[in-house]
Amino acid sequence: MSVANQQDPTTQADAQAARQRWMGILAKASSDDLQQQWQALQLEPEYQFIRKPETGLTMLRGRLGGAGQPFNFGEMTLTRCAVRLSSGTLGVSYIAGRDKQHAITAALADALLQEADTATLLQNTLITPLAEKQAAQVQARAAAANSTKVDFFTLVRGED
Amino acid sequence: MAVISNTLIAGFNDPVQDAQQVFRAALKAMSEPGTLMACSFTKEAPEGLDNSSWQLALTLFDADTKVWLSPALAQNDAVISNLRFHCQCPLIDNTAEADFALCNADELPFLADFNWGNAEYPDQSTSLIVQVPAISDEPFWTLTGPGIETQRSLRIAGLPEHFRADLIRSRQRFPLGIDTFYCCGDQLVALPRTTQIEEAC
Repeated sequence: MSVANQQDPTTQADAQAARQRWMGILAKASSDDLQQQWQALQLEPEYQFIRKPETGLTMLRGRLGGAGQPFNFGEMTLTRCAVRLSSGTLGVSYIAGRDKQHAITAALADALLQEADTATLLQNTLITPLAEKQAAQVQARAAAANSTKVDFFTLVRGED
Repeated sequence: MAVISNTLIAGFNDPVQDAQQVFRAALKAMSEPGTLMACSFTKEAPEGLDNSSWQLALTLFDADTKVWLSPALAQNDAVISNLRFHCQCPLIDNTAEADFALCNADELPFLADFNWGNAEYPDQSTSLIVQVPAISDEPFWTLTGPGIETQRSLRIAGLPEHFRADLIRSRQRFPLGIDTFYCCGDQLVALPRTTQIEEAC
């Protein structure tokens, strides 16, 4: 973060977009996949909890058709966590559900992804595989839905 | 202003239990005015805050409590960032709207500037948390009133003269009034609006 703060606004926005992407991937990954990949890395960073993983509710808001008045859609369970590495970097995670270990791992990964010496390693061995797996799942689902698609066409129209 | 991540420190180790213990201490301090309580559930506080006032903040402040900070605290990134991150409390500029005010003793505004509540809802007044250089039970103030069997003595260092005079006089406006906490290091003492104060010298 401290490095990003000194850079010009465009790079800062890029850094923010990149962080949003990996935080999203970490949060959406299944807990088992994430733990498996994480343990394979055998990273044992020293850290301290700024906010221990805690579970609560958050209100989801929606708009009809993406344009109407915002309304309260419903509440969902959320677990959040913040850790600080011994270097001072802060890692944060917000995940759906109640899995505290998932929240801790995601927060640690977020912190290490901001560190220059672990960023590339984690991008290649954690984020990319998880992103590919998520993309494949989305595609498989889209394909399954697509296979039920029906094309209606008319052979003969009764004009007369 | 955004939260500055490198100034963030850890909150309570066990948020539910620790906040309840601190609340218990604050309740005892309020119900037995002039009793010195010790709160040591956090190892460190943001720079500029006493340990006990930081614990009171973690316990009492939330997204629904408007908090006013005295000028030196309002300019302190560590204080602001940690309050925003851990308490999510809105920080306001106007003392008259504050539910809580967190002040250094040397920066106390006039007591009349705070929210005194109204006759229908005297409970809506500002609760004041003051960070002071020293608290002791030397005989300087003699306290009497509910929660005190006969009388109790208390000396709070560093309070400006106008504040001491206003506080003593404010008892005439009961049930309106300002409830006050005084914090120094791990120590905590409270003077609710029901406590009558007599100054010895």
